[in-house]
Amino acid sequence: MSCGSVIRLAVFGAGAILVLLAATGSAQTLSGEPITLMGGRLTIGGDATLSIAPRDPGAYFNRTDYNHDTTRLLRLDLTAAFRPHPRVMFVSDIRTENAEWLRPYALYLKVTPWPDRAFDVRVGRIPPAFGAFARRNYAADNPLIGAPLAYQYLTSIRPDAIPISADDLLRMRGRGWLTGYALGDAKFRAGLPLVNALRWDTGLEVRVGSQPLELVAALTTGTLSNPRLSDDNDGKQIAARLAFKPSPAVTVAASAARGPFLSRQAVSAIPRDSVALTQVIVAAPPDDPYGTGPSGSYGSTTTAELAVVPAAAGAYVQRAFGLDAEFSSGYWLIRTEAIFSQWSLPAILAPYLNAPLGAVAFDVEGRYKVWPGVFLAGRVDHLHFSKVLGSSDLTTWDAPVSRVESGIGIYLRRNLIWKVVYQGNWRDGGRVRRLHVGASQLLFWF
Amino acid sequence: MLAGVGTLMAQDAPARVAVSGTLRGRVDVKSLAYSLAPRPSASEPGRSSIDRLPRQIAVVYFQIAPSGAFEQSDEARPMMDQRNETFVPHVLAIHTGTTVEFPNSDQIFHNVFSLSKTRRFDLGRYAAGRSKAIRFDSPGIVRVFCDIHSHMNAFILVFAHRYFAVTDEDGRYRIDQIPPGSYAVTAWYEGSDRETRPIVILPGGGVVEQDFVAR
Repeated sequence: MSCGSVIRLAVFGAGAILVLLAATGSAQTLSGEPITLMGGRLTIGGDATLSIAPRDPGAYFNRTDYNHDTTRLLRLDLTAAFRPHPRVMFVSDIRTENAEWLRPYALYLKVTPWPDRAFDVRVGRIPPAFGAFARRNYAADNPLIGAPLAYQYLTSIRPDAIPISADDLLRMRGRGWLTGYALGDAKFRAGLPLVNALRWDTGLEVRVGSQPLELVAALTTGTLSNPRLSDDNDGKQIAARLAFKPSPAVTVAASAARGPFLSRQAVSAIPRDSVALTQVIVAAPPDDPYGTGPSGSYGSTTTAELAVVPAAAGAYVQRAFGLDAEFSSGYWLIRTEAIFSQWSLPAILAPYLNAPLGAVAFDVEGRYKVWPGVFLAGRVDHLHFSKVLGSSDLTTWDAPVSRVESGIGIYLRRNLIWKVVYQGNWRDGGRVRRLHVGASQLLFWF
Repeated sequence: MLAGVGTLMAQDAPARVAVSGTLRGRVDVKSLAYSLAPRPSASEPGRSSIDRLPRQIAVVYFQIAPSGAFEQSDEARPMMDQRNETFVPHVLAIHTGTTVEFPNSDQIFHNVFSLSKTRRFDLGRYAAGRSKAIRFDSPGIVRVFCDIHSHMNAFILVFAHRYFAVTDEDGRYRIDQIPPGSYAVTAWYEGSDRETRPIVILPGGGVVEQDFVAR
């Protein structure tokens, strides 16, 4: 940890302690309550989680696009809701992970035009309209430590770099944590998850209804896999989720989203003619930190014939469809979610990427309270990919991944939870194909 | 502390008396506590709009109870309702051996639980119209929460004797049928004892006035 990180952590930690002291003082009895100021118009709450696990041996199953590991993470989170008027609310959620700079996770304005109707509009960095996991309210809503694969596991797709051929893509199979391609940004960087749960998108959102039907629709700058603060391709994503809640015990929802995901710079790097294509092929390959360079693997360099490629960034979209359900009763809480995502890429060089790249994720999660203040939890998770035809064989474009995570949670206090989990990961590719790891987490909220 | 109530008896108190006195008065809460605000949520911030109400209820109880006070049992089943994401009443004072009902009068799930040493329990999630009950056999303070709605909280004070009273909206209380003797009486408010005062019930009985200040 650098000196700067230590200073930032100290500053943020001191702020958090002051906030906690303020909460304790004003509460008179409880430290587990949010701070309320300005006659209740400003409410501030927070989460602090410290997750500890053995050092990753290079498997990167729990890597996030912030270059962090969900099982080895210090996260501090402050959420504030300010209501200057009964129909207007400002909401912010700032976070720091591993003592790095504060990031605005959420920052938006919520307007409720009719107080007696379930209808509101949100503008800014808004909650996701798609899926269930990323919309969970608090850190304690995750009974385990890891996140579902669909929301965290990094595939080899990048928004700022494009594989020139199927072979170029397949070279990065099982290497989503650090991928590099022939076109666009030449540096090796992290790929994209199906849906990013660690960043929220920027745009406008409308919510209608509550029970039994709730509809959320959003128009945003980024995409599910790459939420953004600013535009990078002149395109907008449309996302919506329709939830059916026939009783307090059951929620069933369907989500859909569509938006261009390739950046303007990446698309501008696509060769416009055979001469430009040949120049790309003969140019020096990107600097691969693992030495598995693309030399000779772009495809056929003797037939540098350009396929027909669209020119606009908006032509390359991520489409996604999701189903999620939750059932709870007594001491049980069961959730399940399935997400299908598809990214379209330009077909440039043989062997061509003719069809969009597909990925399917499915998980089932359960929690059971065995004793007051003690719960058991588990999640079974799988992520699979569509196949592409390379020079040598037909295979999935990224390595399928499975994960089983189970653990126990103990309430040391109402707002202090200690979790211990075991996580097993299996991947059909990559340098490290298995990882069995134990992790522990301390979670405090107010 | 309240956890020790019921283990001692007043030295001057006779075992059986025909004459008894009454203690009454008022608890003046100087600094009112308010109901908890919901935790702000970035994805569901609408919940922050629930009004915060002042907590006015105090409990007055005998630190040392007369002999014979422990023999009484209470067959009633008091209720702590869950209504508008609030426990009603916010403070409940009961005798050991009492069973408390926790009905859910909201259209959403609640999950009543307590991690208190006095009584650790978790009723799980249950919907509107249903009720679950818990029996309290040990004296002490039980903090009650909802596992789904963090701003929902309440107190249950469990006494091994019957010499306690919950104040009304004006802060007034009354405890009857007190045998003559010397006692220490405490005013409790929002989680802690605020003031303890000695009182004497004369052999002839009568009414003793005693006010408290909860700072």
